[in-house]
Amino acid sequence: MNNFIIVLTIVAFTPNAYAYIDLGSGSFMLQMFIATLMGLSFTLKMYYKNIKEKIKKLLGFKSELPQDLSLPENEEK
Amino acid sequence: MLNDKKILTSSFRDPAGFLFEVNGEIYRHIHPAYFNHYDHLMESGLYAALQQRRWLIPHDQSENRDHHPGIVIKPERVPFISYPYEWCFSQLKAAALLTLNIQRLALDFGMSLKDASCYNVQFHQGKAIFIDTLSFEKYQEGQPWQAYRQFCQHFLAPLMLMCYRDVRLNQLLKIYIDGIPLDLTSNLLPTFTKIKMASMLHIHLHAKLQKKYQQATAIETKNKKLSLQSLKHLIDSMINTINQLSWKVQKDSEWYDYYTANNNYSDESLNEKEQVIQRWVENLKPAMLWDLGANTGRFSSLVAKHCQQIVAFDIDTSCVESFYLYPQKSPKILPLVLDLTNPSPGLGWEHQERHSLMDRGPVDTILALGLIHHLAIVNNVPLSKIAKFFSNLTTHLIIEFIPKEDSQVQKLLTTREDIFPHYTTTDFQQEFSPYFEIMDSYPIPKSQRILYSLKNKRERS
Repeated sequence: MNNFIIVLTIVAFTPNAYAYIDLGSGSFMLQMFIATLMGLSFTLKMYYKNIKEKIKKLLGFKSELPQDLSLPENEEK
Repeated sequence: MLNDKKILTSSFRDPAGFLFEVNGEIYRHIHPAYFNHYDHLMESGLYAALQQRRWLIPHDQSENRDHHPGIVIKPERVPFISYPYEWCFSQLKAAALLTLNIQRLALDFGMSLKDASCYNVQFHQGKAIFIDTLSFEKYQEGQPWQAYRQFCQHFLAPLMLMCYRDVRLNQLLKIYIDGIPLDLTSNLLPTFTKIKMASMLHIHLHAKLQKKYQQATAIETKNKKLSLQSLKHLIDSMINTINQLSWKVQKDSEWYDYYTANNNYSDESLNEKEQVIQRWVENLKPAMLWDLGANTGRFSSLVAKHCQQIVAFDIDTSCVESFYLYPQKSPKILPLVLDLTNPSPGLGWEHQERHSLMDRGPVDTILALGLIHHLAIVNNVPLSKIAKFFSNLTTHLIIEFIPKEDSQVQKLLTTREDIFPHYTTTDFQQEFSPYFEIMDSYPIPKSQRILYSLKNKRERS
């Protein structure tokens, strides 16, 4: 019984030993994933912004984009 | 000169070089294998840019590389080396932001940090500063940040645990010398962090992917590239993540309002006490003063102008956080969290990679005000042991003896049996006399307390 408690204690309180485990590959894959996610989020944001602008234009609202970027309006002027 | 060199016990992991000490001065030896990276650091403009921002410890190139199998540089010495388990939340956050900002700047100059250890940051002249000149490597297009995992373990994990669970959890860094494992962090963080984007990605998913790819080899990763732009975006998003983490000072902590609500002094006696201490420290002009039980730094700030450097220790994280963030704090003062009854031990390889508190002494002067009754009565440490402890740490000791009749001590004794018959002024003088001689003493008016200026009887070289 005593031995069982000792073994249980060792198993319960010994920190994980990572000697043969490669922790770097998971971190690498995550960086790739986050980069893709950020790229996707940027693209979606741009699409959303463009669609919002087009709808506003259709409804006759003024563009929120900086003047130098909203070429059609500048050309009209 | 360099024949007397003593290699620092913390400096052995990096194949690029090592630190050594000669006649109290610190030098860094750089091996020829690292020359390529070092030259790029110095010539690309990155070193100058880092110096302009005071982000990297400056160094002199003291030896010609032709005379040695390497270059020797002489970095500016940081007077006191502190460790992340002694920092408050905002200190760890400042160190994390410094590391990320350096990585972001390095990428602009074609370099990248090869490690992101929290031990590469120190507090010097009031600011966090990066101390490892050999951490910079030339960036290779397509490579991810190889220190990303280490950054998450050394900074993000303890900061998120402190912010979302309990501020004391940075103490886990004492157990895990290479940062808090992400699977453990994932287990300890509250459930809501699984739906917060930053913690979900950098901690929970990170821990899962580490497990999933633990047997992965170069086969799976060799064809995958991360563009420089994506890498920069990743660092920027991590800077945002760190900036959003915060921790509020607990104003109801045990010690936070000690001087305003609880200190047992009239204005007059507090004023007298301040004047006496200021006069004694002015006469001593210590190069290094440790203020033990510094609270929110009232007395450290008072004597700062007479000292070259002060380390203000307190057990209460709220006090240390508040003092660290105090806008008028002198840059000479470094506030740190420390439990004197269980001070930082020697850690790492041969217990010598991270030094114990005792190893970082002795110092010129210790200030121990309103402290001794907590050691003797709350923690049952005999006066003889307290005297011996101080004698190993300091040449001069300015200490306040608070006798049993004092109302604060009476408060301590209301909930415990008085088993301290040898806690008297006479006993105090008697127990300290083998180690210290009394240079001066001053009974504080309208109180039972006595201030002592003591000098260690042991001569130090």
